[in-house]
Amino acid sequence: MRILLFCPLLLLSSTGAAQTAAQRDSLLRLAAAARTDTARVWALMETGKLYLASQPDTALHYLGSALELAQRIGFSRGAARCLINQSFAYNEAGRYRDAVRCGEAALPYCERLGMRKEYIAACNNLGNAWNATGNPWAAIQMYQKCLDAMPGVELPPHFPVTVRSNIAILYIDLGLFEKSLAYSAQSLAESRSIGDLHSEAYSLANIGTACLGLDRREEAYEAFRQAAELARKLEIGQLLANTLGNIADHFQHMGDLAGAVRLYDEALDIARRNGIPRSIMLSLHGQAALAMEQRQLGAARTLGMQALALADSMQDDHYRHSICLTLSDIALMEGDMPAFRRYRDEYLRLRSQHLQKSLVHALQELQTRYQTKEQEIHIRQLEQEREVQQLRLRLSWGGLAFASLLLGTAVIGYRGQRRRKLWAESQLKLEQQHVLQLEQEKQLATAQAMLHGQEEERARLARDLHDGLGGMLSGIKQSLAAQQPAGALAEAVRELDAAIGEMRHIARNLMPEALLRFGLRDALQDYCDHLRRSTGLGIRFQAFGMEQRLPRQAEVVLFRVAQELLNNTVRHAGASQALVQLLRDGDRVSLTVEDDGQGFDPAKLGSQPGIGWLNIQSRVAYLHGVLDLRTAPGQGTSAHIEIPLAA
Amino acid sequence: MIRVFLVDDHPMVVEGVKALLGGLDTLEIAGAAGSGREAVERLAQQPADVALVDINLPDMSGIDLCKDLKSRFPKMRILALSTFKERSYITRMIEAGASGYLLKNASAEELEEAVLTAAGGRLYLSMEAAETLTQTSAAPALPLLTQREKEVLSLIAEGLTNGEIADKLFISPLTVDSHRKNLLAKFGVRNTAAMIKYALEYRLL
Repeated sequence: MRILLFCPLLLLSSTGAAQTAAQRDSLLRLAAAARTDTARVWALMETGKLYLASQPDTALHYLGSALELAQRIGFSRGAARCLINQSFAYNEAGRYRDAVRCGEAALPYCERLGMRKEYIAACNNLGNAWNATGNPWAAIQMYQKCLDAMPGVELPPHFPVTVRSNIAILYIDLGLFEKSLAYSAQSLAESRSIGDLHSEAYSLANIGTACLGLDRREEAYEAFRQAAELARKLEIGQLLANTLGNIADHFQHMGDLAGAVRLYDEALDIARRNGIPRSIMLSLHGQAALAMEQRQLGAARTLGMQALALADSMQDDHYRHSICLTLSDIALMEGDMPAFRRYRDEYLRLRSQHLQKSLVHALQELQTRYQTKEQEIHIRQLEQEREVQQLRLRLSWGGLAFASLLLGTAVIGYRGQRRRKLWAESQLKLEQQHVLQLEQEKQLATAQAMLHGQEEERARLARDLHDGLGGMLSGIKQSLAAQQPAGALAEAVRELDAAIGEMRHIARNLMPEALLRFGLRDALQDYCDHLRRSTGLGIRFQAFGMEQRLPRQAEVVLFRVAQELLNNTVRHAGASQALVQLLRDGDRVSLTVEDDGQGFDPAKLGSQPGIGWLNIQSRVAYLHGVLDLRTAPGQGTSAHIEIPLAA
Repeated sequence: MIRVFLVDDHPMVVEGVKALLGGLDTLEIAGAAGSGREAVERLAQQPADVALVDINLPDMSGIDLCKDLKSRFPKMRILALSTFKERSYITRMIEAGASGYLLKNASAEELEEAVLTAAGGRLYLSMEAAETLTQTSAAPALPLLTQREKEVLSLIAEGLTNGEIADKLFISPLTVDSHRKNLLAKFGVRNTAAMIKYALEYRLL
């Protein structure tokens, strides 16, 4: 979909298969004969590296053995290098999650051992993996880490250029054209200073695309023109076809239809000769739009349908939707109303699908962010997010024009009155969507801040009550008791006792001291004790793997959830027995609360009397946990909650 | 006369306890301190037989102070005096070397009895503290299984895979896997075979 420049830092120069086998055999002999384990790690790793590009699975096999050995003998440097190469191989094999896992495992080693070059390689692999999995922000962050770590490290000269180009492309995807431009300008300067013509051509194309996004058409044209010249010289077919398409679009925009036709023809020809279906599709679509503008409707329809067939075969919904729009316009001009309606419906369907996807994606990203970042930097992030959100929206409603730019060539030039009205309508809809998004964003942030603030406040209040008021009341009581009171005064002292008990009760409900001081397991045990004493309910409590404290937030939230669940049991379930279980296994924590009470219909969750199910659900969601609720009338209730602990 | 030392940051409590114990001829108040640090300083100059220590102190927890005092003055007995009656505090104070635990609503008689018991080298627990500790809520010897775990366990024993179990119970395979791992952790075994053996042995299946 985009021009991506992946740069493997640790890739060996490619060698022929026979040569690889020979090298492998000699390396493996070396491994077997190695006198030290470290030498064996090296030999195994080098063997794996031979296959990085050609057979990633084979590479992974050797790298895995190397890593295992390195870890067994505590050879950290070797382990770090193995992990980085594994990460690269996983990227090659398309197993991006594994690539991320290995890359992330390598980072701490590199940081600790000051392995800067390896650190950069690990970040680059992570950036590529995030990029491939559609996480542009995470990818940018990783590439940026690469750049930050570069000064003073000896690297292949084209490497910084590649990293900057990758960032530039990601920013184009995100619609942040100014930012993209800053990176491509630098990569252009660098590629010129090292005389790397390939990188120069791609940098120019990126500059052109970003300028188009900023509506700086003259600059865009100039950049595309230079890019095309280089692409022609270097015979990079895809780049040439795409830049020619963009130039054609520019000509069309300037009213030079003949020039546009000529360029589209050339782009199509190049795309066909190089067998690049996407570029063929883009050129066909461009020609269709051009023919439509010249009122050659029959030709326009034929071209559009060819483009659509290609988009169908590539399952490129993103493109199908703009081609459908062109075809619906053509049908309308031809007066073919059934065809108009058909294309129009398809266009609207794809468009809303696309919108929904980007909305879901944006929300997912928001959530990931909340998961990984601290409260303090959230505000700054939200602002950033809003910026992205806006740009993304602009991108979506401009989807027709911009989407094509992103793919390397602009296609549509038709600027009719009707289209403007449609745009206005869709813009309105998107405006509403935007408001909704901001609202959701705000809610997430508020919920987070509220939960956090609420618990802080409760802890403070509980402490004040207990230490301040509680201490004072106890003192008064003891002073009075020392007077050996009788009659009414003795009664007052007893009442004072009850008041102290009530105050303690309130303080404990606000925030159990034991929770902050000793942790979740003890606090929950205490709470079960307390309930057993005060209600007579047979509560059994068990904990496994809870020797270590959990992060404070998790402790407080899980405690609240348990409290809420147990309150339901006590107040509404009419149960005689209950089981509370807390279990930790690695980075998962689960909480189970079940009773033998009357249960209820889970479909009527919302209408359960006085029950904080919503509260429970939102707290579980806050920890990115999962709630599994099993209940039915007469069957008791079992709630199982599992949360991941952030690594 | 048994010398009693008070550590509490609330002057009213100190005064109250002084007043309560003042009239007794078996013991005397040797001194008082409002913080852990002050207690250490004063006790170094002015030894005592029994110290009554509050759990909440401004500079450290009573639990830590208890440990510290026991290491400095091994012969001195320590009684926790607290408004908390939760298991976690009681067990921790006793672990830290305290000779007893009583609540701040204690009567003069109870206080006296506690001090005398502690001074005699025995352990004193107030009624409520004893109640808390004797309740049968300590983790059972054999792990209890939750409903889900029981279901998952029996399906595993039938030889079903995670995916098949997930389909049967209408939960995700990931959740099934969590339950499986939880069961392994609970039984302290390494693999499914050992888990089933364990379950059969203890009649959990």
